[in-house]
Amino acid sequence: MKMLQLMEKLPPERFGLFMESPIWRDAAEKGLLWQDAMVDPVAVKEAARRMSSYAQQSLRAMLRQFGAEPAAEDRLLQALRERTSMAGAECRIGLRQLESAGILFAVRKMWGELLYFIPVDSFLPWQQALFPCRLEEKNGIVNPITDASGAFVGVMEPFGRRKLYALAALLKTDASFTAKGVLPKKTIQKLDAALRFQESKLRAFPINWAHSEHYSAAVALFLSASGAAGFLRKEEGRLLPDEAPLQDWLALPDEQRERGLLQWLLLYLLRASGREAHIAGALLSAGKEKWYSIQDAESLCAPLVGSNGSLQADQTLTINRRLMRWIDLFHELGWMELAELQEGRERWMVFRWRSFPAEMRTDGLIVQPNGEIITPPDCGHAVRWELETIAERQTDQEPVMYRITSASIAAALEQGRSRDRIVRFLKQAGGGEALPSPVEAMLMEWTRKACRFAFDQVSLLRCDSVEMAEHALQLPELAPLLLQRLGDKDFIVDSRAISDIRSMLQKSGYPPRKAIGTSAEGAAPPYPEISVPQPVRDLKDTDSDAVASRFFSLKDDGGSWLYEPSSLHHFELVAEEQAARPVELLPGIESVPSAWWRQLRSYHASTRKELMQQAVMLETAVQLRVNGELLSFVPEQVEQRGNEWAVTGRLIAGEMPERSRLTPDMWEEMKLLLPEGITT
Amino acid sequence: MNPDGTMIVQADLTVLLDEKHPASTEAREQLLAFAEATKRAGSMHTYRITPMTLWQALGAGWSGEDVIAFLKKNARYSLPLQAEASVRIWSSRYGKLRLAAEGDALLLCGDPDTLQSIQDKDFIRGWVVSIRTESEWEIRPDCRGSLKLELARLGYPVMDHAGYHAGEALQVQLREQTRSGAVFSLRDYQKQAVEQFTKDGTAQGGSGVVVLPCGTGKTIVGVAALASIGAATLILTSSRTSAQQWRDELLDKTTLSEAEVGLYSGRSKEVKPVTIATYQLLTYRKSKLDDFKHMGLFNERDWGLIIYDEVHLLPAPVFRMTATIQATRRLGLTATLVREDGCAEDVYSLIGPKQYDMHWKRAEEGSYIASVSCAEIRVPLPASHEHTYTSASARAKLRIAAENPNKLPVVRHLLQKHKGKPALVIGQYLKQLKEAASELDAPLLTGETPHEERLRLYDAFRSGIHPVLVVSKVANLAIDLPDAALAIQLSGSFGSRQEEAQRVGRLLRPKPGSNEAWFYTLVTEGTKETEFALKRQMFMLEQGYGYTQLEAPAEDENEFAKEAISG
Repeated sequence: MKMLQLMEKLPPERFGLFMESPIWRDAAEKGLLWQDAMVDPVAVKEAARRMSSYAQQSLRAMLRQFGAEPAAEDRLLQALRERTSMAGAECRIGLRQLESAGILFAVRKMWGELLYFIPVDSFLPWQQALFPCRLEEKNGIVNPITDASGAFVGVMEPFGRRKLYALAALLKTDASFTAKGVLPKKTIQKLDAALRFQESKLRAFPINWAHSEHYSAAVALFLSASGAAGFLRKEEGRLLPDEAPLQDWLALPDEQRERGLLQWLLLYLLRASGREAHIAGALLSAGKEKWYSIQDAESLCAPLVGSNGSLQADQTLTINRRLMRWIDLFHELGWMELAELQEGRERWMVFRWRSFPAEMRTDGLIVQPNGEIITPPDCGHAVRWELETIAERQTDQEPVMYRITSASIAAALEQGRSRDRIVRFLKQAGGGEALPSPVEAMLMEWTRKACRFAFDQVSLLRCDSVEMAEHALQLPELAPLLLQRLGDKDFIVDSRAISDIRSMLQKSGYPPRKAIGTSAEGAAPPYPEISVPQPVRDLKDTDSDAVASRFFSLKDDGGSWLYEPSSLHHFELVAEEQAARPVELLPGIESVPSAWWRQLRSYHASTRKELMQQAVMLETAVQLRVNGELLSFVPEQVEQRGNEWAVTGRLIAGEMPERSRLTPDMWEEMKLLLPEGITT
Repeated sequence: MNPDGTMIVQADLTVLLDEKHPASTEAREQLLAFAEATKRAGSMHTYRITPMTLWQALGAGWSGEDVIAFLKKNARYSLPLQAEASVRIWSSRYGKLRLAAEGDALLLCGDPDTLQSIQDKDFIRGWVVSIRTESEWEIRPDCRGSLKLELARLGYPVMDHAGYHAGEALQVQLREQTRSGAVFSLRDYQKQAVEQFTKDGTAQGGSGVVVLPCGTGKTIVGVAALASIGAATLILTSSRTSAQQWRDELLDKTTLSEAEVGLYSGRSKEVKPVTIATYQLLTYRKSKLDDFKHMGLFNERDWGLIIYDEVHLLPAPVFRMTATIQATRRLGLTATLVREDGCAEDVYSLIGPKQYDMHWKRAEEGSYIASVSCAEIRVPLPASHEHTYTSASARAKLRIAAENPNKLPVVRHLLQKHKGKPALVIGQYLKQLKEAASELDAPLLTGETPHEERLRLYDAFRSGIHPVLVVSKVANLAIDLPDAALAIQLSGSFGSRQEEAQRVGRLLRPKPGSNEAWFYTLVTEGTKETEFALKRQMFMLEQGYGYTQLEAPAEDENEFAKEAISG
């Protein structure tokens, strides 16, 4: 579940209560709200430091075992037992503290089983706070990698850019659904061509999507991302653009757009990746524009991703493959660059996160007299959007080159552009410089004949007599809707105004015939006109982050193209219960002699057994003096074999507990260890 | 981002040089050492760095790291990794392999690792006579060209130091006074080009390409190279007229006699110490199954030098033939190495490296070529023709537009405006040209005009007896009209970009006085002709020639011509 989905389910007063937890003291002092603190890396890091050992161990163990996936209560407790030195009661305290601070939540499944989860958008801040990954920058001679044929593999165009190309292609073609409820095959082919994804890089992840027999993973990803950003919606049997959000999205700086898309995609992938989510966390902890060794990343990920934390040879191979799956995907989406780095005699495969322009220009186009248009790397998307409709893209390397051709101009006219508008756009996007006269001549030539005639689907208001036509003209609110009179008895009217006209005529006492002829139904909406450069300035003046978050915070899942993994929002959130639900700790402690936890003593074997049984019941640990050394032991079961008994549990020696079976002769002294902060 | 960067470097080593940048001149001079200009449209000119252009720079003393440092310093955006790596890889291969001669034996010598890496290539195995040592292989001498070509394609340049055979000696010198009486000497850049080519007769010289803009005297460079080497020479040109022109230049500017210079043509197949032939004739055969019967010309005499004029037009069979005559000195001459078939790299492998390249801008700055102003004038169709035009078939429409009678008054205006300047009126349709010639009282030159008559008309034109010539498509060929300062295109081919380029090229030779020339193309407003005119102009735009758009004036108006000139 994501933060926004969670916020919808929680009563707002709970947000404030979460912030009262001592864990959030630093964030609260800064005036942060819970929903902001949860996704703020600094606030999360500070909160991690303020957590009790129980809370921190619990969260670490949970994230370590399950990544960003939800965990059933019994599996979670088992993981805590296996991965921490805490006794059961301590685990419960830890979990309770996390719930009180609004870090951990639970939903109740149909049969009452509890599923614990942290909001998926807060996974990465917590992952990076609790498992800091210290990758060290590499320096040396950097060479590009090569593919199987020996050709250099360069950087890919960023996903945001390719999404723009696909969207432009979609809106210039048939975006209506077929009888099967999918886009036409030709349209899908155009989208795939615009996206140019290596499908295998996406399919390496366990993602599922609707109509997978028709859509490639890339197309599903594109449709989902566009739906999530709110500028593409399913309506009237087709996909329709929403111009206002589209305009805002196009106005975003590249850096923000790509970051947002990365975060959006991670929301899907993290929930479907289990422990491998740590790989994403480790990679994302690397700084931008610096080279890091893939081998180093692998070593750092191995203990987090491997089952027992050891780095064995065969496991390394698996981890390498798992790591490369993420790296390949980030590279494919144009966010990461791969290379080989030579440092002395050593060679390393390295990666770096790319940075993108944080400020965009809307006036940097270079229009050449031969019709070529050079777009600098910091050219705003609004400008690229328009270029997609008036020109043909020639290259996909920076700077991207376009060329206006007779065909591209004819297509632009089809999309409702005019010569004046094209000239105005090119001038404006070219920094106000006059267009080269050959370009003016080309535009003049190519716009001279095309689209001088057009077909328009309008409606005809037919009156059965001249008298009725005059009646219609005399209705003051109706008259402006009668676009043109044809002959004595008919009027051309806008199809979209039919229902208004109908009600006006009805009110005037002449209800029109119910059946109507052809209308504009089925006509494609025109390619949206994006104003340049207004949006960028608007955003800078206000708060572009706020706009960006609207696209990528993802309250909804983008028109249900990609299926949400581990979906929880259909289940009942147990947060309400949480507020009132006290943690039942140490049941029956009142009947236990206080000496049993106050001091170490050497007890008789039968008392030792009794003490151990009590510890199992209370879910606490015991402290044992073994060969003069004090050790903690979390007993789980007391076994009786004839006259002999033994206790199995976890011996805490070092960081990781060790499963042990102890007989009473193995320790000298003992006492119960109650969780810290428990007073009796 | 480096806002002071003069250029944008792309991953594939395409370089866009910002000509508006104040430091672009300096950057261009250096860039040309290892890159080749491909387009000169607008403010961003396009260059390309290829293995060949880079290797040539390395041969001239650059290092790969110098090139990378230069690109990094001047790049506006960061240098793509692939670009940097390509330069490193290509330069690391330079000089690793070389061809040497040992008596009659041809040796491929060099780095053992490199030799080992090419050993398993099928084509190599067939050419190796023996592997003498791990760093020295003996190669079949007849495979010298093919070996260089294939290894260059694989990314391994071979430095050919195997030298040349001398060929049949020829006593020839440049004249200080031409046969027609004018003082003659080589221009500095022509002298440099010849020196670069011959390299004092060492094995490092003797083959290669000289790139000079149209109108800067490429023929003279060829003539001087011939005189410098002093050996029997085969000259291959792109047309018969051009062959004639070569003959005239040789006789005019060298001590060669008519008996020593032969034209190998359909009519007379003279094989003399200096023989001039056309590519068309060499590649002529009756059918695809027949041999090229004239290709034997390469072996009919012991040539010491072969000159390939307009080397960018070199046809494939001549390419193949050239691969087999690598022991003969070879000079390629061209204005551009951009080949439609993308085989520029092969030219370098088989003819030789680029030895000299002068940028068009430098030529204009040095007044080695004239400054040409181009203008398109839109001429309306007479009202009486409009209906005929609308109802005509597509093909007939083009002809109606081309023969628009309103064009003639405009021609008259232009001739009046540029009175005294030698002018050509060029057209596509004979009927129109005849009318124009009659109206303008100017001689008409067509493909049917006998050769002798044509030469007579040229002379009359040069001497000013006829300041205006009306010419048909023949003007498209390589005729030499040195003092034409004005060309008016009444009608052109539908979209042949070469045609327009050649017509403008006629005007490029330096002019006395202001060194200016004018090219006007007349197109009929509102017809298909404007569309075709646009296509023709595209090539010129990419070569750096902008067109001014002008409306046709009223009959008694002359002012527009002034605009064209200033524009």
